[in-house]
Parts: sequence; structure tokens; C-alpha cells
Amino acid sequence: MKMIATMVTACVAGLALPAHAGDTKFYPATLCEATDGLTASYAASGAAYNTRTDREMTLVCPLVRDVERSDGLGWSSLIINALNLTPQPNNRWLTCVAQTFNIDDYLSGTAYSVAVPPNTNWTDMSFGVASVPASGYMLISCQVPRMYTYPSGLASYRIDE
Amino acid sequence: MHIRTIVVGSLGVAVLGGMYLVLRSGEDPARVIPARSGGAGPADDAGGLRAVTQQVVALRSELVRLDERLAALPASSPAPATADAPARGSRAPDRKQAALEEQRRAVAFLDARFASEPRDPTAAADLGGELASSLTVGTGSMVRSVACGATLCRAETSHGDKQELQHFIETLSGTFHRTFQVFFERDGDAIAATTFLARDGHPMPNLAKELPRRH
Repeated sequence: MKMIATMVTACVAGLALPAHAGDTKFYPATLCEATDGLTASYAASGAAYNTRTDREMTLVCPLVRDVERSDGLGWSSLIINALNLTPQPNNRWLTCVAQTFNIDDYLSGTAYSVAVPPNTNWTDMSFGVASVPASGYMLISCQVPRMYTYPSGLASYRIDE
Repeated sequence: MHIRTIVVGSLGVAVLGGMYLVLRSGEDPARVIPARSGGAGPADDAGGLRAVTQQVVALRSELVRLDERLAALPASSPAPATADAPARGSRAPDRKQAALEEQRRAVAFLDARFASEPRDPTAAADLGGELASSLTVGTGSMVRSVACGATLCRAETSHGDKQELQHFIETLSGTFHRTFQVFFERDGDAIAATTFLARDGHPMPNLAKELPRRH
């Protein structure tokens, strides 16, 4: 009897719990694609690198928007894990822009840019919260420096809506 | 309305569970639940039934209370916006307006933060020159205003079309190496953009934590 009562209670409690807006989704950078007819180099670990020694590479990474928040925000947190192995004295930064677009006219939205200086470790690039219009979508675009000795690139990214 | 559905559903489950227990209570407990040595006895059955009954009563009270709250709300009152609540069921124009309002609220918050900082005319002049170089000449894009405080700089620009704005953002991102956020929206035939840039050594305000939630 105790067990049945516990089951009923748990059932009632479960139904009464508030729904969460979303969960954190993790993406490998293999989802990112190079623009301008270039091709990124993908590692088995899921990272995407720029192995070109003659030019920067723009990687565009999709963000799946599966929650339309009533407050009009696109995410609670958005983080890209990136690596800039540009050796000194070359001062080339890895920059990423997270943008939100309105598919009606593309005339409202936000863009948030974060830059990573040359360093030797994978770095989390954190983007501030941004509003995203109704029926809008979100996109990440990163400029990855050219390769000198070792390539720079993106490992993964994650979003919490 | 969603809360009411949940409560009604919960109440239904609880009532069914209670009815099941009531019906079973008339039978031999040993047949209902196989007796285990040292396990539950009739006294425990009665205790469980009482607990379920109390929950049913509590849920009924909650339902009455929610009904009263719903009745007190105006018929056209929109659902309260919360950061954690998905906007399922709300109309697209409403969500678009909500996003614009949220965008403007973020700008107002950053404006207030910026207004509290002492001005740095030298940094503003330097930034103004850099921003002007990020705009394509002859496209109608222009820098309207630039100002810098201790931790933030603020710039207003106007762009002839979305492509010009995109060029501005990409140039700014690729050359300045600063953390910045651009808010843009239609302004007549042009696009008006307000850009906040974090000064060296200072982070951008964390809107996710600092921006007050709407009530």
C-alpha cells in the first residue's frame, strides 16, 4: 500500500513540476562549414581547422533553435570552444560573431562578437545573451587565422536556450 | 490555462489512485499486496490511504484557488512572460514584438550603465576614426555618434541596407578584436545600429545575469 501511495504521489508531483525551457545542446565543430569555396579540415575528434597557409577562413556553424522563448531571447548561454595557434609575432586573432536574424525582412536582430588572441590552449568564447525575433534564427560565423606551424580552429560549441 | 490543465490532470490521477485504494481497502490486504515478512500491514494501508486522501483534498483546494485567480484575470490579458517559459501558442507578431522590446530593453540597460561612466573623449575620437573606416563610402552608411566611458564605448551608425550592416559587423569583428554587441532595427529606409564595445581589459556586461527579468 505504501508503494502505491508513493507511486501516486510521485505521479502527481511529476505532473505538477514546471517545464524547463530547454537543455544544453553540444555540437561538434564538424557541423561548421567554410565559406568562399574553401574547405575546412575536420579532425576525428570533431574539430574543424583552417589548414590553409595563405588565407583566413570563415566557418559558419548552424544553431538549432528549438525553443521560442516568450521573452524574445535567443539563448541563456552560448559558448564556442576555439583554438588560436598563431605564433608570435603574428598578431592574428580568431573572432566569432553570433547573430540573430529575422526571416521576415532581416532588418532587426543582434550580433555579438568575441575575439581570442594568439594562445596555446583551447579557449571558451562566451557570448552574451541576445534577442532573436519571432520566426528568427541564429548563426555563428568565425574567422579562423591561417596556419603557420599548427592550425587554428574550433572544437565544439554549446547552447543553452 | 496550462497550469490548470496540469492541476486537473494531477487531480484526476490522484482521484483515480484514491478510488483504487478505497476499493482495494475492502479486500483482504494479504490478497492485494503479497505479504512480506515484516512488511506492510493494515495499519500502513490505512496510513497510505489517509495520505492520498489528504493530497486529493489539497489538490482540490489548489484547483479552486487557481480557478479564482483565472477568474480574476482580464479575458484579453496575455500570459506573463518569463525567461524560462517557451512561447508555445503565442502568435508570431507577438513574439516579434517581444523580441524587439527585449532588444530595446537591453539597449536601455546598457545605455544606463554607460551613462554612469566618466567620458573619455580621446578614446571616443580614436574609435570614431576606426568605425568610419569600417563603413563603405558612398553607400549611405554613416557614423552618427561615438562616445566612450571607462569600460564601454557606444556608437550609433546608420546603414543603407543589410549587406552594408553585415560588412560593418564583419569588419568590426575582424579588425578591432574587441568584444562588442550590435543591436539593429529598421529605421525608415535605413537600418539603425547601436553598438556597445567593451574597452580593453573590461568585459561586456553580462545581460543574462544583470538584465532585470520582466515581470
